[in-house]
Amino acid sequence: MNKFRVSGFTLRVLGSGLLLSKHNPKRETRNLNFASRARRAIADERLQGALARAMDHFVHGREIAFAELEDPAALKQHGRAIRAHTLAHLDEYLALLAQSVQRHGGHVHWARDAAEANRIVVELARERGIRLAVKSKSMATEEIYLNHALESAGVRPVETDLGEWIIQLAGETPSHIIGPALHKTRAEVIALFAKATGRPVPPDAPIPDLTRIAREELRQHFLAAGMGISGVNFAVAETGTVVIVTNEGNGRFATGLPPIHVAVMGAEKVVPTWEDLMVLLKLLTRSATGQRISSYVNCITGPRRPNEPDGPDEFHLVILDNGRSDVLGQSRFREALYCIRCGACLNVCPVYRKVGGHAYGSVYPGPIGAVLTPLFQGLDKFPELPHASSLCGACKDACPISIDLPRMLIDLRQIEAEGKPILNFRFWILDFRLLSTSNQRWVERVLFRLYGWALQYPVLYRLGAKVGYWVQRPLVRDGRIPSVPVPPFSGWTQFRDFPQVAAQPFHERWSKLEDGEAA
Amino acid sequence: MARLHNYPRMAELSTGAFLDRIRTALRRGDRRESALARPGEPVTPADARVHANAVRARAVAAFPVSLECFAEKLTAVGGKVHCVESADQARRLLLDLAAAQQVGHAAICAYPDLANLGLEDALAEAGITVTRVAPSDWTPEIRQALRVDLVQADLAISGADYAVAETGTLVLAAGSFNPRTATALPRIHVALVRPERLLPTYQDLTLLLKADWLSDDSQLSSSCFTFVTGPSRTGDIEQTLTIGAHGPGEMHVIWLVYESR
Repeated sequence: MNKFRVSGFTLRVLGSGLLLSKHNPKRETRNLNFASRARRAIADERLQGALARAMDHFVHGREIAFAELEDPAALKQHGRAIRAHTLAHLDEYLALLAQSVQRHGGHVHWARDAAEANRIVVELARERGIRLAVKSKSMATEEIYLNHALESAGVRPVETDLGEWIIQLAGETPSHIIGPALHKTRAEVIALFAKATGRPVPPDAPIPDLTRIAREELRQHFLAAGMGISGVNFAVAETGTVVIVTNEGNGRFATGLPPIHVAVMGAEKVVPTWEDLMVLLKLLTRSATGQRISSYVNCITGPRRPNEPDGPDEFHLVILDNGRSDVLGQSRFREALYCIRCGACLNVCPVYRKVGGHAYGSVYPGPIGAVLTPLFQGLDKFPELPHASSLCGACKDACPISIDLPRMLIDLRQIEAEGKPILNFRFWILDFRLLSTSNQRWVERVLFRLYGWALQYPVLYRLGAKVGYWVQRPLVRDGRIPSVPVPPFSGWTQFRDFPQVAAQPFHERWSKLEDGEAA
Repeated sequence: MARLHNYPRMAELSTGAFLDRIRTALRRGDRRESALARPGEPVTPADARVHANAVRARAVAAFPVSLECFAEKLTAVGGKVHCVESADQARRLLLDLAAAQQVGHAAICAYPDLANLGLEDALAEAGITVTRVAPSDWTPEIRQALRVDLVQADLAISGADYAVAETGTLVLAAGSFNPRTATALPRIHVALVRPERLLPTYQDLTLLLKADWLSDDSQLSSSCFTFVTGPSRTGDIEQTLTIGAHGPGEMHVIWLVYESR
């Protein structure tokens, strides 16, 4: 049995929890459970409209982009083979990557966790007296809350992707991997931009005007910044090249204008060769936005060469573990690291499409977030996320790498169920609040345990069927049970009916049939 | 500034310690997976150079088909594709574009492909300020002056090191006459490209990138390859496609088709 390892995460989780509460008052929703956050999101009509529009837009684009490929299945298979091979040899390819970066005059930093990664970036800024850093969109830096770390060290980070800038101004977190601000309306953006620029923005300003305001405002920051921070979509081991994909062009500026470029990557983002890169790039942009390729793909190898007129004087690559090696060591979850962060699984997920990204309470939302977050940060911290899925399998179908997300969600559920004893008195005494939020799950657990136990004894099972039939009688209406007033059953009947327990159980009918045949 | 002390200087993790964690994890995981063969053999620069001429010859032969594909793909994302049959036509087209967009300041990356087109003189005659980026000893002062010019320019004119038909993409290698932000800062980017630069696929591109830019000891001679496909765009506000976010709002590719004759 592959035991789920949580002990190693405990400190890290505590640390990030503190960060959250200290720096981000907007995240008070974090204290609610998934169900409450989801309920809140579903009641938000504005959000529902935005989600429906955005999701259809992304899904439609992806379908068209894949339909024109000669053999999409073969391409996806090739992509998966590359990821599987790379992860199985991750140590070798990371070593090669580091060597290649250094060969081109770049610096490589290794960070075991968020705190180490933040310290490295903050230290680089501090040593050079840098007060302003421009950032191009990066999930890895979201994962480690780099902006908070920079701010508390007196460095102002400015997000330059339009969507990221909007949510930075709003003090929020991204609600989608690809469209971080898709939950924001034009009116909200107008208010945020007026506040940020200190100039009035007409209440009917069209979207191109808003984009121009962002362009002008952020252009000043690009030119003034002492440091450019980017994520890494892929890092090519054979040449030490980091690849940054953008549509707006902010990636070109953030990596090309400031005197120092710091790229932060999850350790799993390495690809062996340029040939492999092209396969994955094709899958990434088609899956993410339905584009054959994004407007700009920057392949950056080390700092500016002496004969080049621009580009940074220094290039630093921060390679982040932050739970990845733990996942790598668990065979059944390793493929979660194959993810190339395209967001396709979010767009097709019936749960994400209704609740949006913030309901997950984690940096990575949607099906991949429901797997990665408990793996990276601890299942004890995010026990509900693996349950935030209908297991319909749409995510696996949409995934360009065919990552088996439903299977991993079930495995996580299993671990979570097995890891909890039916009654834990210490738990009970120490933390009533925790118990009360998971009360319903606790009752479920007891019921399933009883059910499983009763199934072992035919006598008990038959008795149960009989008792069940009599107990349900006051609730039956027209052959269905439309409402049960007691949890956890009430949760089910809130939206669905229970089927009635049959007057004559199957085993009785079966034996009667057999008797009939015999006769 | 007192808060800086939140982050005391600490010894950084060594490569070995980090990789050891990965190695241990891989040992813990499924052994069968580590036997996974790599899909496709890596191509060395030497291999690439052996095949480079064949790839180039194939690309030239495929030019008419490739151009059609290139134009279709680039036009689909809002780029403009033109073909000119003489240097004179190229100059006139460029001047028309500049006039239509009220260009006051143009920056030209002195790609060798552009050398005989007389673009600078034509632009200057039309009263447009021209910044020519040519190889130089890029001292901090000269670099700063160039940056100021590039920020002011409305129009960036460049060549392209490669173009890929499959997606309608230009590939620009940063180099002594091609600053990587020169084609990003102005609001219009016009690239004049010779037919032999057009490659049918990304497979061809990776091979030539390795053949042309990667030394036998795996040193890449450019710090940045930028793939450009159409104008800068965003859909971040209400999923409404908006052209011209941070980069150029207009992007033109002018094919110098007479060059192949």
